[in-house]
Amino acid sequence: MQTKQLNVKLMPELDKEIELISKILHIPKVDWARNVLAHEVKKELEEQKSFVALEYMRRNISKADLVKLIGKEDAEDVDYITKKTKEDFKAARELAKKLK
Amino acid sequence: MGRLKCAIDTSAAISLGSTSNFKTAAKFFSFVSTGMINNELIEISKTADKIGNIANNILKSSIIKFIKLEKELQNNRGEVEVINLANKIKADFVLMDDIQARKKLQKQCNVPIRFSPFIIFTLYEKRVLTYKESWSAINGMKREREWKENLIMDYAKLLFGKVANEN
Repeated sequence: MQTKQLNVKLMPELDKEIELISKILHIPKVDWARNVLAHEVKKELEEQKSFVALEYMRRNISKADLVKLIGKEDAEDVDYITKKTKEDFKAARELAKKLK
Repeated sequence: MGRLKCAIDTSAAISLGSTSNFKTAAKFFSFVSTGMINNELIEISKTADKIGNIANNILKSSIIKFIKLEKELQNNRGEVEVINLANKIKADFVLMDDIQARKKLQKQCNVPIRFSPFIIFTLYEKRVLTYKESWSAINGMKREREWKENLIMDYAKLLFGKVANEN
């Protein structure tokens, strides 16, 4: 897999702390930092996607903007959730009238 | 109308188990599931965290009746097995929070597939739960999982707020 390089300058204190973690966990400093970065990026990306999707659901942003920001496939899923949840709520209202 | 038969998968069981309203819901809905879902819940219950605890409570409560399907209807994907069960027992609906599974499996399912807020919203419309209790239940269904599954709950809250204001 082709990789990209990201150079980050660390404060000596942080570098020392990472060094310590690396010793305790018996994994190279770079591997540990890469794992943490990957985890945080995934978390942040999901939070941002969720925020954008909710803004779309609140009709604060357009479909075109949604697609631009989260991609076509995810945007279609957002539409699917909206449509099906609306249908579910309508059906729930009908059902409640019939339930004893 | 008696209790409605609801075939439920693991994701929806955990969602409802995250609320304090699962037992109340069982007064109106008869929850059924399959051997595969039972196994999945047993596996999850072995984890010493919040979700593991929820799975454990579901299993102990006997709210869900697990039915072992004939070999030809069994499947190593829980969602598929739940659809097979729903078709076999002529369930009233299926409950699952898996977006991709709902999309793919609706065609082969003879009954509607719903997301779990459906249960809470029905109980609200039936005046079994108050607005506050319902909102809190839907909010409680959010957990650490794929962002789009949590979006179901976020949108349900948004929609619920709008609908409740109309009432």
